[in-house]
Amino acid sequence: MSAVGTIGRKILYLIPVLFAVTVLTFLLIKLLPGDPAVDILGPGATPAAVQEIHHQLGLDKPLPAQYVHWLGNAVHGNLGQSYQNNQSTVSALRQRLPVTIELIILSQLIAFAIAVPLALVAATKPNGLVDRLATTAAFGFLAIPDFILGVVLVFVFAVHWHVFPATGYTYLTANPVLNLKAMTLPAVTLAMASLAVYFRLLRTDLIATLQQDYIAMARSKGLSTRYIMVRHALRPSSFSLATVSGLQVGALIGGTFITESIFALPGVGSLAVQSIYSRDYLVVQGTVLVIAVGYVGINFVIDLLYTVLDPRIRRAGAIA
Amino acid sequence: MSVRMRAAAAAVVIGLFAGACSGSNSGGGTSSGGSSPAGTPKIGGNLVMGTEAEIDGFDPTSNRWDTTGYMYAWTVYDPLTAYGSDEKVHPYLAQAVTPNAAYTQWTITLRPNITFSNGDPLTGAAVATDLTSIKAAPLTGSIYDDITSITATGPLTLQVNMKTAWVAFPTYLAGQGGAVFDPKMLKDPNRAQHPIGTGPFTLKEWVPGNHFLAVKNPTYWQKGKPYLDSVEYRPIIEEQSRENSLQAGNIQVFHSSDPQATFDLKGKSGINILDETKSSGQQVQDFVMLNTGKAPLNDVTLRQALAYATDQQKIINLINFGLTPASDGPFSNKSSPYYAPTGYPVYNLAKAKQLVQQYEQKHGVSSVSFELGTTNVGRNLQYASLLQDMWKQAGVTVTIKQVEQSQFILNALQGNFQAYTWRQFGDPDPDSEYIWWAASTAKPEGALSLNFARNKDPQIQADLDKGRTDPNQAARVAAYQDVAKRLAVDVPYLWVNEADWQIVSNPKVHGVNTWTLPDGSPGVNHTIGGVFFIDNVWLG
Repeated sequence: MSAVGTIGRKILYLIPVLFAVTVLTFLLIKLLPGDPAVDILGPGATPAAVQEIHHQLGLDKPLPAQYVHWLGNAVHGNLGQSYQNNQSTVSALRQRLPVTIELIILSQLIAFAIAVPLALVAATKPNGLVDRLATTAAFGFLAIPDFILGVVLVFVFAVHWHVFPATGYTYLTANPVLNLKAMTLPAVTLAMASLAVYFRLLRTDLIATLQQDYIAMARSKGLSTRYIMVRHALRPSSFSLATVSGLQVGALIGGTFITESIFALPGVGSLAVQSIYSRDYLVVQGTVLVIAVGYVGINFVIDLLYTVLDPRIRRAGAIA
Repeated sequence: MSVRMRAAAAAVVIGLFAGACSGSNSGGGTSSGGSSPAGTPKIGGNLVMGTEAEIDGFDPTSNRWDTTGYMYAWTVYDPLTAYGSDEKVHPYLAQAVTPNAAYTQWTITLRPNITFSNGDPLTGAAVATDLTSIKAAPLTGSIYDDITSITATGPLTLQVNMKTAWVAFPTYLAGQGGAVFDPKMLKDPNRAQHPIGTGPFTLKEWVPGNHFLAVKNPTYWQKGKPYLDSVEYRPIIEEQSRENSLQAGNIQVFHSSDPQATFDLKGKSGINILDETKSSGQQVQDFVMLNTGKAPLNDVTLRQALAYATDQQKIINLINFGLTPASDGPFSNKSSPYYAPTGYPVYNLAKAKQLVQQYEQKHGVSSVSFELGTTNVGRNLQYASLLQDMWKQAGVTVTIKQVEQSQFILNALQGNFQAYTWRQFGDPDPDSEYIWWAASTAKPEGALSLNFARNKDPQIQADLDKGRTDPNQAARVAAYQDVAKRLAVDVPYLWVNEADWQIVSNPKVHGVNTWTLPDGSPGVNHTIGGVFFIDNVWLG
């Protein structure tokens, strides 16, 4: 099967997954206690007014009909509007997604920029000083929750030294320097857990790869350690890293809920938290849908990346 | 989350109906530090304030203004009346609000030569349209149920006719019910995002969840005001994040209803705290609301037993860091004109046990149990657990149920509860509490009842009617003091403590509690439930 065929097959697999995601997102909100109509109208709502809102939102239809109605609207880019401020959910997401995406990208850049070189050095001399120090630090970062690390960073770098802001956000297009200042502490907070995971994983895989015969062959050819590590060991050791980085997106999105709240960043995470607290059902539903579809999409891309990273998968696909 | 959700249930309700002040109205206010008078106001500067929440919009007819909502609103709108340091309402955008002899007809006269931010003139017809639309709106209409008609009678005058005498009507014009907006807004489907008012600032940019930026209104009618060039509100939901932001210099002031702020920051250099629990006037109350229409709490003996079994000080110490004063009624602040000792039961476990036994004998039961509800917030669960333990010692078994916020309010309205933790009241004029306490608004379980506790006391009804209709202030005070005493006898509410609003700022921020009303008299010397007029604030 050609590469296009492989991709096509993976897309076909994606359809039932996305269907399940939309059904679960739809049902998730249905399972929550409370009535959106009461939230919209307030406690003085008359039964007639409640019925009217139910009708407007399609809540008086059978559940399957409600799902089809909702999905149809969602496909056409209509996720409803916030009853809190009448802003359309799509508009709110459009405003906030760039903040969250920037936060995740920055955090991952930080995580990879530190984890990969550190793992390469540590794996070169397992149980050496660098390896032991880095491993200890990694365990430390894994053990510290985001909300603790964030608060500590704020206390040191914002409250005490006044180097970075404690809260607030400047859009990248408005002022890139202020934007980076505002994003540094949140990105570092979010990066630390990923960094530790990536370091541990890559280090272990590198050590295993270094036991392979072709590495011994490379060494016997007199190639430098650095060259061997970067050109021969890194790529075959990075499959697990690619898999986990995809799966890690879920944890990162969860992390943004906390990080964005601590740093008062106007991203999707804080939108979700605020919407949940204010029972802004349609925004919660839209946000969860976008996050879930995004998560599936990213893992789909990671899945495709395997074929680039590992020729064996390409060949296996071709044989199949 | 630092937001006190047991309060939020009530805060929403107050924002909807009371209208007169704020989402969680309060009074009182002396400075325990900054925000104090410091010379002549300086012109210029940009103020950044951290707020507890984001608002739902600027439409006075459909949006629910809580404390943050009022901060935003009084930035772009003006109220018709406002409170003075004498705790009475004074004309603000109105030049005069005068009743007829029977208080059944009020005439509102507006100040001349005022324009909305779009250049439209402020007229009697515009304000009549505003009040009519507020009365007609499902969300806000109930505050004006006693109004029969609103008519413009001249370019700058309008007349409001009532079903009955209504002495305290002008107090309602100090809140959402008195926010003046250009009637053109009513034709704009997106009016919640596009306010057109006569206020000191005009909206420049609002990115919900990020910031609200308003710039000085160059044609503002109060000459010399506002002092600031611009004001920016940043919703920072987390209490700790607001504190950090102030200390890091990212914001200059924030408001908070969490005693944590005072606990963390009191005594720190470079930080001023305006703490309303140390102020005069009415205070918002934290209490447990009992459903007097439903067994077993329909028996006053058991309700009194619970009052005796509740150790207020222990709750205050463990939940509120010992910072909030204990309460014995809705007007618990001793400097409030409506305060008088109520005779509310003082903690006495032996007495509580005795009353529980008395209840058991009377009803022929061997044990008493009921459900205590609270919202889905960890700190509220702590609070409820503490109450559960206290009442267990008196022989009452309580199961705790955490309820989703909107359902919580709906249950209270429908009487589908036995006991709920709650925060409410504290309006400067007690007439605003009429709908919550009147026997006429108490309905049976299943029917929507604004008297959530369903306490039907004819004496309270008579007192409330007197307070609404009697122009003699001394008689009104006596009537409301009697209401507080009757509530201590009926015990539909287990009073716990006064809620705590604080304005925390750096020392450069002035004018929060020292200002002058348009008629020249001093403005109220405290915030109203965390709300203050931003046009008075200046940076030193």
